[in-house]
Formats: sequence, C-alpha cells, structure tokens
Amino acid sequence: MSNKRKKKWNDYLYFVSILYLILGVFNILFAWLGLLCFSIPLIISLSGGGKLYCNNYCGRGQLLYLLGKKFNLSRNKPMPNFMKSKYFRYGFLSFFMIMFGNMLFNTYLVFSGINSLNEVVTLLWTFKLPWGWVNTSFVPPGVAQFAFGFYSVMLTSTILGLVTMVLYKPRSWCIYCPMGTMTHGISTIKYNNKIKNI
Amino acid sequence: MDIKKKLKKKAYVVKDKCVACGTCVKVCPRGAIKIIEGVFAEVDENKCIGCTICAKECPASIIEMVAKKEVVVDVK
Repeated sequence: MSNKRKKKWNDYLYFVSILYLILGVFNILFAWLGLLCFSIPLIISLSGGGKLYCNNYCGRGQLLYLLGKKFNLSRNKPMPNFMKSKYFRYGFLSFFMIMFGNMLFNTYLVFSGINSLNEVVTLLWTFKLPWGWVNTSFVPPGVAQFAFGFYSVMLTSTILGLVTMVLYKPRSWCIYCPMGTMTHGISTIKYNNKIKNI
Repeated sequence: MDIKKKLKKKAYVVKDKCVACGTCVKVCPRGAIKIIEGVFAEVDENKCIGCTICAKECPASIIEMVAKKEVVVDVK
C-alpha cells in the first residue's frame, strides 16, 4: 500500500532549506532570507490559516522526512514523553526566544557602534565557528551581525532537528519547533474563541 | 453462509496532544485525515481503512488504532 498522491510544487521545498544553508556558507548575508521562515508562518496563522505553513510549505519538515524516511536515517522510535509535553514545548520556545533576543541585542550593540562585528557562527548557543571568509564590508556591520546571528539560529535548529530525526521519528523536530509551537498556540487561541462565540 | 462479526480498527487522534504538524495527512493513502483550524488532526472514520501508516508516522506517536466499526465477515 503506497501513497500515490501526485506531487506538487510545494513537495519540493526541502530543496529551499538545503539551498538556504549552502548560500549561507558562500555569503552569510543570505541568512536574512531566513526571516521568511519566521514571518510567513506567523502571518498565515494570525490571519486564520492555522498551521498551513507547517502542513504544506515547511522545507525543513520535508527535509527531515526525506532523510529519515526515504534515506532511512531515522531509528523511528517514539519520542520520550517529556519532550512531547506542553512544558517542554513552551519551555523550549521561551529559551529559543530569550536566545533570539540576546542575538538581537548583540546586533543592536554592533549597530550602535559599541561592539565591533564578530564574524562567528555560534552553534548550539555555545560553540563558536570562525566564519570570516566573506567580505561583508559593503553593508553596515549591524546588518552583517544580524546575518551571523540568524544563520546561527537556523543552523542550530537544523542540527537539533537532525539529531532528533535520527534518534526518534523523522519529523520529531515538528513537535518542539518554536515556530510550530507559536503557530499552534495562535491557532488554539483562535479556535477556542471561535467555539466560545458559537 | 457462515458469517462472523468482527471489529474493524480505525485511526484515532488524541486531540489534546496533537500539534497539527500534518505528517499524518501527507502519509494517509485514502486522504482520510484533515487538520482542523491548525489545532488538531481529525480522522474521517468512513474513509479510514485502518492501515496504521499514520500511527507509525506520527512524530508524537499519539494516533491510536481503536476498534470502532463492526463489520460482517464471510468466513465460508
């Protein structure tokens, strides 16, 4: 029994996810494009589209499914219960947002000239990878600093997604993905309000 | 004709634990699952054939196979 659903253009968005990471290696400024992955799901869910982005257009989810299922890289074991709990999901979202705020503050310090540009990509909020092979002098240092910070966020979350893909089920990342948690929260609030008003 | 009544299993989503990621929707060979307003997945019992693919693929492992429908089987 196989799924014979005809493939559509949006079934190939995993390619965009791969391309994003590759472009960031060649020029870190491409990291700014990652803002689309932040804004589109939020705009969709705030305008009543629910989790349409996660369900149909998330390139990372597709990439993890492709690697886990088609390339057989996943152990396909259930996730531990604590990782599926609301506490963990919202706790991870809070942690992620705090680290994101920290990154924005660093960008602000570079924008205002207090700090100089730090050409590193920070993996898992800890490990600093020197990333200084690209000339970013044609943009203000703050613009480049945001790109380094944002690429760090995207690379870190990709690595976490890959680790849980291997350890558990292919799309385990989708359970604790901060964007997914946010859009699910927004959709739940909207749904509960709708039910109350009926 | 020798007939026997048998319970057919159908997929059931535990709604409060579902994050509506849509993995089940994509793998269902019968298009029996829908995401309701981005909050949870819902299985159309009339379309579900109890193949268990969605239960195996669900990253949160919250799809259970529940004996739902009584079917008449000819065991002749």
